Amino acid sequence: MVIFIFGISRHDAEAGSFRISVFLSDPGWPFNEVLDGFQSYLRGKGISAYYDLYPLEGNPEGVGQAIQKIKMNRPHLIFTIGSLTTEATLKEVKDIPILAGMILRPKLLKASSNGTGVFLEFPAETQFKWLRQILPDIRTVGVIYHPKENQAMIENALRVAPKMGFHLKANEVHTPQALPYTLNRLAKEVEVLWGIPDELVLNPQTAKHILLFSFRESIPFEGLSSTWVKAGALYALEADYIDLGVQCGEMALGLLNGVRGNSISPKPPRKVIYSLNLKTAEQMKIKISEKVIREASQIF
Amino acid sequence: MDLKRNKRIKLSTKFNLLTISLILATSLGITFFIIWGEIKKTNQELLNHGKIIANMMSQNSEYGIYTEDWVSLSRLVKGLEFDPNMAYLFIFNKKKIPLVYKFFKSTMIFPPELLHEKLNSPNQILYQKFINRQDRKFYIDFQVPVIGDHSDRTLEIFNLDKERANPKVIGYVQVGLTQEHLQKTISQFLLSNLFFTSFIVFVGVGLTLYITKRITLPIKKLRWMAQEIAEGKFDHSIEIETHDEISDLSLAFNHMLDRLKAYQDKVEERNAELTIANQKMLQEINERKRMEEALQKAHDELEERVRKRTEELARINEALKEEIVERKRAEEERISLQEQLQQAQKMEAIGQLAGGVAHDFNNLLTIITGYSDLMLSQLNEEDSLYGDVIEIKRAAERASTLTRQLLAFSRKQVLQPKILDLNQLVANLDKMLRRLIGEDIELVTKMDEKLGRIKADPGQIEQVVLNLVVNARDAMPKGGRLTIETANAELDEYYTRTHLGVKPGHYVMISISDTGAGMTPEVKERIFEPFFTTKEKGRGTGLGLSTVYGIVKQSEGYIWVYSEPGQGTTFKIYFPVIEDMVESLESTPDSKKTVRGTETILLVEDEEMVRGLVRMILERNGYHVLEASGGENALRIAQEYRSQPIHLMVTDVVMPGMSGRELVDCMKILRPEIKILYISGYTNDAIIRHGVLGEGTAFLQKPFTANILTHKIREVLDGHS
Repeated sequence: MVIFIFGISRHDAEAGSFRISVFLSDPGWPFNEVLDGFQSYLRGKGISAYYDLYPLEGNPEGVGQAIQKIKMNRPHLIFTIGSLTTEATLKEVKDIPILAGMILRPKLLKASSNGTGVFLEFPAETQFKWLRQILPDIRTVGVIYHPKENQAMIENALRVAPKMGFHLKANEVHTPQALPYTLNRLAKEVEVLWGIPDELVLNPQTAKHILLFSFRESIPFEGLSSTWVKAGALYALEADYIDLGVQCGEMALGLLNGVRGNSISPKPPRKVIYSLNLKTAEQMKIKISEKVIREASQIF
Repeated sequence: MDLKRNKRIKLSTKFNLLTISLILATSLGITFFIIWGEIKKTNQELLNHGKIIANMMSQNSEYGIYTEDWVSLSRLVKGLEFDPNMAYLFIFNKKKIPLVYKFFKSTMIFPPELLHEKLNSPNQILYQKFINRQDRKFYIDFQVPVIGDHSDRTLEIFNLDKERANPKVIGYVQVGLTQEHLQKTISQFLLSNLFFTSFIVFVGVGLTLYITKRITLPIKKLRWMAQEIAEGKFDHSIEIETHDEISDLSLAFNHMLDRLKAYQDKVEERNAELTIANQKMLQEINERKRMEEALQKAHDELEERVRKRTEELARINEALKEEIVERKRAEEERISLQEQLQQAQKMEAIGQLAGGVAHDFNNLLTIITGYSDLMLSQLNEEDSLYGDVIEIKRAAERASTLTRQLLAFSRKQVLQPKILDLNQLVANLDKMLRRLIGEDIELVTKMDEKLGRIKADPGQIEQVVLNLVVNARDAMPKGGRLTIETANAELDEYYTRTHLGVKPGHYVMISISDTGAGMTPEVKERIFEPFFTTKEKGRGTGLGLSTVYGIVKQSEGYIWVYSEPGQGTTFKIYFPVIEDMVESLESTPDSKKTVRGTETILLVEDEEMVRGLVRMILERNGYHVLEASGGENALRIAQEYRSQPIHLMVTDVVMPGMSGRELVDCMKILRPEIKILYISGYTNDAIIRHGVLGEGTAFLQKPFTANILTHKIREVLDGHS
């Protein structure tokens, strides 16, 4: 379903203002916060823009139709929010600058000549830094990954971890059937389980089970977002989505001024927030410092 | 029917029955709805239970199916062991290979096939009831898909609260529930419900009976009071205990009682007056009744008299009618008889006339014939007078024939009756009759073999038959059939009453029928009259049937003719039956036999010409003749010739003075040996009247020829007669 929203800005593109097509994978949270941050920043910078909104409501079939519309309107910039819309737009549109937000990894943008953006994945260093702050006594960290997806990232983490005082036990799995065994083995070896975005390991099928595993074995699990924390993970790092929108706005200025997309390298979120589940901590008898609790963006 | 009508149901019983029926109906209705609802609810609960288990298993088995971790799946299955409704559980991967399964009952169960084609979207659940072929019990099978999310949109899948973006079937769960536990639960519920309902009904009925008794007690009192009133007892009153409609009714009842009491007094007073009036009326009614009875009796008697009189009148009327009919019949008979009498008288008169003429003719013809014979005996055939004399003799003979016929008709010829068998007579005539009628006419004879005998002159009867046959032949010129029939017949009183002169008795009947032209009534009336003929001139003399009539009558018989124009004619002749042996018929005299003699003959004849003629004939034939003109003369001659024998006396029967019979009687005294030959021109009646003919008496009818005379004399002298 494509909904056109007009008149967000009174500036006419023909009278010197910009026409920006916003293509959202989901109109809800946190995508709306990213858009809010983006528009606020441009407004603050005095940029007059006319926005065409194309929100997808969980219907991937609407992608093609929306892209055709976008192309007909010939906007000055296409702002894609989410992996679904970004991937499709990068594939179809080559002559209009594309700015992506809320994508997991920069891998999508590296092959594009007209696109750039802000991705969600935090660097291993950031991960370990915050692990040390929240769980200062932890030494052995376990992670399960599918090499096809995360080989490079794990290799980097294995290099960084010792430097940060951690012993990272990375267990690779190639099929879902290997997951139970691997989990059982990790239960005896690690103090914390680090969750990384991996479709084979962390998906709706395994999520509940891994959380249950964490509970049963009293091994705290670092989730992928606040929703994971709410479901039972001990904590999760998260981007500040408004700031992520502002960060995208900053990139948009360059693109609107004629800078080519591939000349602006994709960036991770510059502002990190975290959420905590104190009930989990209590259940696992883990002591969290007051400071950490105080600075947490969300506490469950 | 009467029993049914008279069957009385008490008000309390009706009320009890109504209330109990309502309690029963309500209890049963409520129980039914409760049970029905409970069964429906329990069934629905079982279904929901199954759906919940299936969905729960679908949700919880995602990881187990995804990782094909049978340990975690077994753990899930184990959790269901305590559910008494569970029958079986299967968890399949997306290739329909069962990863885990368990049967919770000892019975072998054969679940339905997995309908994986229909299980392709989230929140879908299929369920069906089936009968397990092993234990023949009902089970419910639930099938649900296990949905996973294979989205690679990492950020989105992190949000656990959100709907799955790209759902896909990763496996299936099949759950079977048994209804055994459900049925037990329902049975227990049924039992407890029935017990409770029975208790409610019992209490309800008890309460109803109690309340009914309380309510109907005052009504019963009222009824008792009403009965008392009905029996005329007005001394009671009802005690009022309640304050409801029944108490109002009781008050009204008491008031009514007072009023009734007053009325009763008035009624009794009035009754006394009425009783007196009634008695008077009763007396009056009785009196009237008696009067009515008397009137009725008189009426009945009168009716009876009228009836009897009517019957009598009817009988008289009937008798009168019969008498009228009888008189009419008698009148008809009388007319018929009168007609017959007239006919008979006519015939008698004609007969008398004919008889008288014939007598005189006979004497004359005897002379003519006799002298003709004498003349012929003296003439040669060559003489010129010979032929003339022959003609005279022939004419005399024809005249003699006519005279005989007239005599026959007038029944005045002399008959020589014999006992006859008519069958034999007809048989003897058969050849001659056939020659007579010719070949064109068929002769049929029907003879009664047991035919009775009659007494008649055979020659005359032959004449009768011949005459009738000739008549029949003439009536059938173109041929036909002639039937001669004989039979015994009995002529009864009625027949004799309607046929003049007929005597009742046994008869022999001979009938001669032809198929000829028949006769008109006018012709039939006159057929027996002499000289009446319908034949052409020269063919008939008109004396044939007259002769027949005369012969039959003279033979004491009866002749009747039946004829219609075109229908032929039948003559029926009845002769009285005679119980004697048949005599043989004599043959006619042989003319060539010797008739001469030398004996002495006394000839007694008052007619001189006849006497002379006879004397001449006898003397020419050798006899010695003594001649006398009367009886006294004859006796004198007999005395004069005492010394000479007189062999034969030939005497006339009717003579002036002494008759032939008286002469013979006297002569027999003088000459007992003398033989007698009577000759007469008179009729048979006259001869009988003169007492001549008896058994063995010789007689010769005038006119006769010389030959006949000489033959007869010879016959008498020779002792054959």
